Amino acid sequence: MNNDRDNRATELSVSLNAKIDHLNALRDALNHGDDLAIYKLINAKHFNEIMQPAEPVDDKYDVSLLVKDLQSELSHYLSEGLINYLGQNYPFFYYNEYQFGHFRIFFGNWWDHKLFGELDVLNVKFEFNEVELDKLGRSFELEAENKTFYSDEIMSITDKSQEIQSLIDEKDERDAMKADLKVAIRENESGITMPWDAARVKAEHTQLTNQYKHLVAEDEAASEGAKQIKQNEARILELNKEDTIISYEKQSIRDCFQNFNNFMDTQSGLYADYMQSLGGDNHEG
Amino acid sequence: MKDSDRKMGIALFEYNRNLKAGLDRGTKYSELLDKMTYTNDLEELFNSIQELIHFQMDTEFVQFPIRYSTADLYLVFMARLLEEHNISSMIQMQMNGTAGNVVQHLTQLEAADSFKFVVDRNRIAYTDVNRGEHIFYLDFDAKQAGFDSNALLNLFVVDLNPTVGPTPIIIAVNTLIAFTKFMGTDYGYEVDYSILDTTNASFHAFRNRNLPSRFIDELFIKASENKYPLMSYQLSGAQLNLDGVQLNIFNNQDEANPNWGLQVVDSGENVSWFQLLLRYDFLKDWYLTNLADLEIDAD
Repeated sequence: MNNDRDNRATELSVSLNAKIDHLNALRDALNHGDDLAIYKLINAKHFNEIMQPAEPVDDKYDVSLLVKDLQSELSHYLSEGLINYLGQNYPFFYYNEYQFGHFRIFFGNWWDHKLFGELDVLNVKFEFNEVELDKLGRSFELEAENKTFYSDEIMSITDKSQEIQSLIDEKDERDAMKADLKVAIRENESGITMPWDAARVKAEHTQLTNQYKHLVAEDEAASEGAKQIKQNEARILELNKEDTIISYEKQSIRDCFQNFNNFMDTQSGLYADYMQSLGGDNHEG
Repeated sequence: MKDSDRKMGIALFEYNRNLKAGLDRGTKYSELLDKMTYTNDLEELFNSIQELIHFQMDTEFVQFPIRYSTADLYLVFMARLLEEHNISSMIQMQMNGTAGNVVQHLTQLEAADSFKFVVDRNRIAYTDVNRGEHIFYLDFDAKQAGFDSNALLNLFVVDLNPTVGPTPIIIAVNTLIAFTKFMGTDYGYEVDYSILDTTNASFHAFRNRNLPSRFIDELFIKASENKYPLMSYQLSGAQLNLDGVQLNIFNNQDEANPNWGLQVVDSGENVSWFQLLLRYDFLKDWYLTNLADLEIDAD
C-alpha cells in the first residue's frame, strides 16, 4: 500500500516537475525577450502544426491552460513585436488597445475610418468584421461593372428625389387641372339626366372624382416631398461617404497587395510568416 | 480826425484783424499739412492728422473752399504710415485735389477696385469703392482695429478671386494687415485679424459649436474628389494636409460641452483661413454653402 502511494507521489511529482519546467521555460523566454519561444510554449500544438519543425516542440502540456489567467498580460507583452511586424506589411491598419491586452483594428487613419475587427495577438490572427470585409471584397468585384458599393442605391434615391421634385414643380398644372375638373364635376351634377343616360353620367362622375382625388393625393405627396428630398440628400451624403471610405481602403489594399485575393491569401499565412520572421524554421515551405 | 473817419478806421482795423486771424488759420493748417507730409516722427504724424481733422479752418472772414475731407486725410495718413515703414509701393494714391476724391489703389489688384475711408463718428472703415464692403475699421476712442470677415469673403473670395487670382489678393491684403499691425506696434491699437489671423495656435470656433459630423462628411467627400484625403485628427477631429499646410477641425473642449472650430497650421505661420479659401475652391464651396453653421469669427 505504502509503496504504491509513494510510486504515485513520484509519478505525480515528475508530472508537476514537467509542468514547472515548462513554466520555467516560459519565464526564461520572457526574461530573454524571446517572443518565438513564448509563442512555441503558449501553444505548442498550433506551432507544431503550422511550422512542422524538424524537432517538434513538446506539446504534452498545454501551457496556455497553465497561464490562462495571464492571457491579457501575455497578449499585451507580445503585441509590441507583432504590431511592429504588421506595420511593414499592413501599414494601413491602426491598433487601439481598448482594454488591457485587447486590440481593435482600424482601417486607415482617414476621417471616420472603420473599426475593422480585432487583433488576436496570441494566435497571430486578424479577426475581421465580416460585414466590412465582405463590403470591401464586393467593392473590388463591382469595379468590373464600373460601380461602387452604393452606386445603385445612390442612383435609385436620386431618381426618387427627382420624381418628388417633378411633383413639386407640377403644382401649378395640377391646380389648373383641379379647377377644370371641379367645373366638369359641377356640370355633371347639375345636368338634367335622362333615365337612359343615368349610368353613363354616373360613370363619368366617378371617373372625374377619381381624377380629382388622384391630383389631391399628388398634392399631399408633393407637400411631404420637400422633407423627403432633404432626408434623401442626407442619406446620399452618408452613402457617398461610405463609398469614399471604401475607395481609400481599396487603394490601400492595391498599394500593398495589388488585389483583394492576394490580401486574403497573405493573411492566411500570417502565423507562419511571423514565426519565420522571429527566426523560426518553417519546413513546410 | 472826424468822428466818422475814426469809426471807419476802427471798422477797417477790425476787419483786417479778422482777415489776418483767418489767414493765420490757413497758415497754421498749411504748416500742419507740411508736418504730416514730412515728419519722420510717428507720434507727430498721428497727432498732426488728428489736429488737421479737427481743425476749424474757415472763419466768417476767410474761407478755404478746396481742401481734403476727413476721410481723405485718413487715407493720406495710411499712405504716410506705410511710407514710414518702407512699404509705400504696395499702394497708389490717386489725389484729385478736392474733398472726397482721394482714392487708394492696392498695387497688386491693379484696376480691379479702389478704396477709401468711410467716416462714422470716431470710427472709420476702409471701404472698397465698387461694392462698399467695409474691409476693416479703426476705432479711435477704443484704440481698436478689426477686419470684417464677411466683407473679406464677399469682396476678395467671391468677387475678385475668379479674375484676380489668389496670389495678388494675398499680397494686397497683406498690405492692409501690415497697416493695422503698425497701428498696433506704433500707436498701441488692439487688432482683431479675424479670418486673416496666421498664428498657428489660434483656434477659430464655428458659429455652430456643436458641429454635426455630416458637415465634416461633406468636406471628406469634396476633399477626396480633389485628391486631398481628410484624415482623422485627435479624438474625433479631422485634418487636411493642403500642400504643406495643415487644416485641423476639432472640438477643443469635451463631448458634453462641445466647441468645434478650426485651426490653420504651417511652419512659417503665414497662412490664414482666408488664404486657404482663396486657394482651394472645394474649401470655399464647402464653407460658403454651409456658412450659417460654419462661419468663424462671426461678430
